Amino acid sequence: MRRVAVTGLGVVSPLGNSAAEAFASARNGRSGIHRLDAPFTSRLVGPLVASARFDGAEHFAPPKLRMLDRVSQFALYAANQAVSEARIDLGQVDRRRAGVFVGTGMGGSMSSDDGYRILYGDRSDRIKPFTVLMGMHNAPAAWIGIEHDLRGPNLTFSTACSSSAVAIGEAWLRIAGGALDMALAGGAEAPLSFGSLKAWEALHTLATVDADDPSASCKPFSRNRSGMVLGEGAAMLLLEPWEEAVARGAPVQGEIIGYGLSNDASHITRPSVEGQVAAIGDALAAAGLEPGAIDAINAHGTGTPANDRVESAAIKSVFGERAYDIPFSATKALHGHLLGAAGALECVLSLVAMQHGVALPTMHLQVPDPECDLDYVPNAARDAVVVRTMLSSSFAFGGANAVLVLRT
Amino acid sequence: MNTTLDRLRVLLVKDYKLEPDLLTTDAPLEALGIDSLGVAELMFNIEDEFEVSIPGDPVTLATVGDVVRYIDGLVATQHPDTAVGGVTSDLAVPAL
Repeated sequence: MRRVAVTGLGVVSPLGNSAAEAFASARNGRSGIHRLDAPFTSRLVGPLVASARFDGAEHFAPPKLRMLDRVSQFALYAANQAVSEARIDLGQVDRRRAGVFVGTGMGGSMSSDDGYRILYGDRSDRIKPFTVLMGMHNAPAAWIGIEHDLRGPNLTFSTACSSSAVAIGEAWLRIAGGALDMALAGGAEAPLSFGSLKAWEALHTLATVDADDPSASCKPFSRNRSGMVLGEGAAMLLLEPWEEAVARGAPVQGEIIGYGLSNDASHITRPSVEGQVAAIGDALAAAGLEPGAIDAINAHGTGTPANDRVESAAIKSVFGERAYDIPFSATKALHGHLLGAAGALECVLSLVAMQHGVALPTMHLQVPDPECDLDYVPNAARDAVVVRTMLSSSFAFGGANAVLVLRT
Repeated sequence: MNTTLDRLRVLLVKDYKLEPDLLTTDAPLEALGIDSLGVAELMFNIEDEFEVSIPGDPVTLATVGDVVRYIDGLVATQHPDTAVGGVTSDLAVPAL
């Protein structure tokens, strides 16, 4: 197996549109969650979102923009940023050995939503000719492949909230195994349409509005947590063999050293301790590490009652007494749940946090929960921590658990 | 009264943010970034602007002039008393 370096990071997120900006916001506990101001707000019970400050018109020519759902705009912007930051000359890359791996839970759902509004809301037959091409889940990956002329595997993973962790893990496997020499891997999500917000609301998973501070409405691991807040954005990583990255003097951001994947095979929404323990165990085994080698963890930490309890139990099961000494950060309190992009964004935040020796905070942790009694780094970042090796966990509706092992 | 070309230009400038000067009758649509799906989308706006109904038959339109002639044909058939036309007006286009 070859070592795999991360040499470029690209981010569009509620915390800023670069890895550095997003990290700075997360470190300072600055929330990207806010009340939604939209024509349909009055029809939502808890009108909260974590939106990205991103206007596609600033980045794409009108003829192209008309073919790009917001999810593809995010993916392209983040991928371009990753390529640029990696300072890689794509002319030197064997295009057939360069792949694109994108996770997305809902694909171009805003375009589908728009089409349905025209058909059912306006009772018009003028659905846009681009609707299929904008809505298809593989559009973000396809556009990245076209933009950078990458002719190897162009794959889209849709395992709900673990989609982008799976995408990064699968890309890692191919580069580590020698099948590919470069990959753009990550995820993108643009779920803030009326239709999708209502559907999530109907599932009773969304947070209620914190009346005192709406930006503090998502409260992972706090006893008064009430659910998640949907967020939008993308995060892409440029991955390449370590030796080649070092040889060309690339700006190495860190290393992917392991990936574990398991399936709960139990309940469509309810997480399972057993499934999470299996994914973490597989990730450690892939990295050739004992649990004692893990310095910190980025939690899945959605802020739903079920997730946080089960996830804490899984960590105790894997790490035993040491579980209480491992910084365990839930950054979704700040950037919301980016669904298919969440794992990639959290992977990026974890890599940058390690570079800075910082344990990112779990914000809005106001009320201790006896079932969630680990070190969540509550309410303030911790500086000057020695963190070389981290886990980044992503668990999903459907049961697909994915865990990445990261090193700097 | 504005010509067909003037009115088509307004639609294209609004949707594609194109420079009006580029929208001459001989300009190829593909070169302006308007492919066949873009033309299909444009038809909805043409129906509204010119109060015509686009027939279902496939039609190949390669240039801005083709679109103008196509519109003029529809208007002539569907509104014979008010048709103005615009193919020949390219030399006397008022500024947008």
